[in-house]
This record gives sequence, structure tokens and C-alpha cells, in this order.
Amino acid sequence: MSSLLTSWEELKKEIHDMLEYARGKLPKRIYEELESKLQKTTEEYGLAPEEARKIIEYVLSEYEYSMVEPGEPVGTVAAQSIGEPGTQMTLRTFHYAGIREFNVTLGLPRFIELVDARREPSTPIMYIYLDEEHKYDENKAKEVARRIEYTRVSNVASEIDIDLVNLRIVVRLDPVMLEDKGVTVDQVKKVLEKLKLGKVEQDPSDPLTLYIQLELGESFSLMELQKRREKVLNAKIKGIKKIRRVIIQSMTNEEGRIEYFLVTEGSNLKEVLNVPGVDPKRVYTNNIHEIEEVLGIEAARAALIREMKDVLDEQGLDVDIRHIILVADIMTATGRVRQIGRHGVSGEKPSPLARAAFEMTTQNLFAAAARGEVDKLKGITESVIAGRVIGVGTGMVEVRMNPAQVVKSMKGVEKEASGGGN
Amino acid sequence: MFRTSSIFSLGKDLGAGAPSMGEELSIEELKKKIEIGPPWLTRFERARVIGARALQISMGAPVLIDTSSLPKHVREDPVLLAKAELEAEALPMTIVRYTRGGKVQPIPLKWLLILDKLRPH
Repeated sequence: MSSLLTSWEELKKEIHDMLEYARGKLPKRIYEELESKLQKTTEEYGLAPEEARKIIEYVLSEYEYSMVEPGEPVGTVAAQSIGEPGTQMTLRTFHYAGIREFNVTLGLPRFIELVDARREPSTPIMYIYLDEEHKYDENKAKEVARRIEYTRVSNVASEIDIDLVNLRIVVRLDPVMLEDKGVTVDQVKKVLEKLKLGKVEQDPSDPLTLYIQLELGESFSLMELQKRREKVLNAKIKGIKKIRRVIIQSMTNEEGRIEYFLVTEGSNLKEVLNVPGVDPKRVYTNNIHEIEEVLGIEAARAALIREMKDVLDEQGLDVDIRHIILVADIMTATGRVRQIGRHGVSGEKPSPLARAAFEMTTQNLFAAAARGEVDKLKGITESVIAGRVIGVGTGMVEVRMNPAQVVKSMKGVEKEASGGGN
Repeated sequence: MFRTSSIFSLGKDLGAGAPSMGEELSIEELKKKIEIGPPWLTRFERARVIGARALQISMGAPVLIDTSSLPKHVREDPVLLAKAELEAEALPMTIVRYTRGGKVQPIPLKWLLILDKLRPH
């Protein structure tokens, strides 16, 4: 019998082949847990190589036995497992939970949004974490926030009027808002000059008042003046498009220090990633399509899973993550995010009969006939329509019987029976 | 000293119940031979085999095991007979497993039954 080893390194050498085999079979997380627990046990109590081998073997078979068997209707199970808790959600439809000053769509409306793969969520939100330099200092965080927040002239002006006597637009700036958004009067002046509406002048007695002398032709209408005023109102001073509001929040991070991060109303992943001071590795948005565009389909899949899980968790519903993973997998299997429904998974099924069963039966059948489509009757719906056994569970098992073998074993039974009789 | 009786005996031969396929295979070898699906009889396969066999028996097919020692209620029920046949590894059947990619592997029912008996639950 081999002796106990208390050194993990030694044991590792002994069972190297087995560990490598397990690494190939097990998911990373489980493998790492196995390794760390083996190490801990070895160092605390000692472990013989053969014992370690048996443990690994047991873990391997336990893992194998825990997987779903081929033939299991996982899609149906997933649908029911999400659908049933979903009925509990309906009672609390359109419930909004505030993250401080924010409203976030949660519950069933948000879930429908995800499954429908909408272009834009109804409440797009980004979580922007900052880099080493900016994350521990509130003022530096504020600096980044100001860089991100989309600021227009109307955000910092207390009033913008048209002076008809002098034919000019009067912009009165709000000092509080200027301070809050971190904008200087000169900046605003430059922006207004860029509009090319006319010469921009500062009031000699009041530096917060700006005049835009309009250059107009002989004839002009009031409508035209209004249009120019609109232009001034919407002129961008700085920031990133679509980010309407930025709020600074703090949390205690793993190191036990207070870290500041930004939460934004509106989402624009592509441009936020380029902002200095932002930690691009930790930026998060709830807009799945943006993630797909910028980071690719795998990231979109991960985001879908996370968002769906978050919605269910928030409602206190315990749905196994594997059901959600299946839904996300189906949605992203083609390389782009498809919705579950007419313009996605259901409407793009390869079988014409399945599509006809989904909606617009006659139109779908006519269209399929015109295109000369072939139905291989492999799916569930098609099989039911054609009156065949469905290819799920017992129905997908193919059994063959060997007649020659039957004869052989029958002779065996006869011999046994006669032998028993004697 | 810490030796416990393991459920998985590596490298042991299969004893008296080994397949009459002309070759004696160890459990590990057998496991490796099964390329598609899990190395045991899935519950769907079990149900399908018992169902198919029970239908044959109910229509008069000869039973492939010695029934004289079986209790009366088993002898009179085709499903229970089929079950008994399956457990006795008397069914000369092959399970054809396939993947969506088109790979096909016919697996002797006996192999799956032998491996199935190793399952802890």
C-alpha cells in the first residue's frame, strides 16, 4: 500500500495523468474546486495517490451522471420552468424599483424586452467603473462624469429668448448649472460661435449673458427665428450622445476601500469605452445590441444570461440558470441576436410545416410551396402534424433486434429449462 | 488503511456476466467504446426496449428466459416479463445512437446494461 503524502507537489506529480484527464472532462470551475480541495486535504490530513485517484474518478462519474440524458426535452422543460414563475411576475407588472434617483424597468416588461431582443431597452443604463487613478477620488470621478454626460446649451441656460427689436438671441446662463456641469462661459461662447448664426457677444455688464447677433436677409419669418432658437437650445457643449444623465455612486470594493463609479441614464458603449478615466474592462450596459455590436456575440450571450437572471432574482424567483442559458443560446446561435418570436426563432424555423403551425398557416404554406421547400419531418410540430412518433425521449431511441441471436438464446433457454427439469 | 470498497473497480473483468461477443472487455474499455451518448442505458432507452419487447411478448413471441422460477404475477404480465428479460441481459438487441451531425453508432444492449449497473443511484 502506498503511503500518505502530505506534500501537494509530490502528490500532483503522482496523479498527473489523472488530473490532466479530469481537466479535459470537467468544466473549469469544477476542476479548480476539485484541485483546491485535494490540495487542502493533502496538506491537512495527507492523501495517498490511490485515494486521490479514486476521488477524482468519483467526481468524474458524478459529473457525468448529473448531465441531462440525450432525449430529454430540455426546451420544453426550460419553457415551463421560466413560464411558471413568470405568471407570478405578471401580478407585479410594470413595477419600477428605484436605484436612488433612477427608474429601471424590471419584472415582466423587462423580461419581454430581452426575449424580444429590442434594439433599445426602455430604460438604458450603464454602469461605468473607473481606472486606478479616478476610482478613489470623488472629485476625479466627477471629472469623468462631466466628460461623459451629454450637455447642451439648454442644460446650462436659465433662459433663451429672441430679442425682436435688436434681432438677436439672448442666452442667459445659470451659474449654478455651469458649476454643476463644469462648463465655462467661454466654452459656451465657442459652441455658439460654431453654430455660425452670427456674431456672439458677451454683455459688458453681465458676463453670464450672451447675445447672438442674427444675420438675416431682407425678408424672414418668425418661424425661421424659432428654428434658430431651437438650434441654440440643442447645441452640444460636450459629452457623449445618448447619455442623458450621470450619477456618481460609491461602494466598498473587495479591498475594503470606498470606490466611486458612475451610473448613467442612456447608453452608448462604443464611445464610453474611449473616455479617459474609464476602466474599459468593467463597463456594463443593459443594451444587448450594443454589446453585440462592440464586443461580439459571445459577450451578448453572457449579457443576456446575466440580464435575465437579474430580472428573475430581483423578483425573488428561483429559476435554474441552465434554463436561461438555453434560451440565450437559442437566441444567439446564428451569430446574431434573434428574438424569440415572429422575426426570429419561431419565424425562421427551417421546417415549413412548423412555420405554418406558428402563424399565418395558409400564407406560409403557399409561400413554402412556391419556393419548393422540403420538410424533413424531423421536428416535433411536423411529426405531430404528420402523425409520426416525435423525436424526443423514447421516440428518438432506435432499437434493432437480431433474429439469429434470438434463435440462439431461445435454444439456451430450452436447454436450461430441460436441464432444470431433470 | 483508508481503503474503502469503491463502486468503480478499475480494470476488473466483468466476471460471469461478461458479454458473449467473443471478447472480454474491462469496464474502462467498454466505456471508451461508447462514442455517442452516456456510458449507461438512458431511461428513454430502457423504456423503449421494455415497451418494444412487451409488445412482442403480448403478441405471442417466445420468452427468452426461464420463467418457471418467476412469481405468477410476473409470468402473466408481458411488461414485467420484458423487464425481467432486460435485467437478465437476455435480449439480443442493439441500440442505435446517433448525433445531429449524422454520426451513427450501434451499441449492443448488453454493454449498456453492464455499465448501467455501475451507476450509484
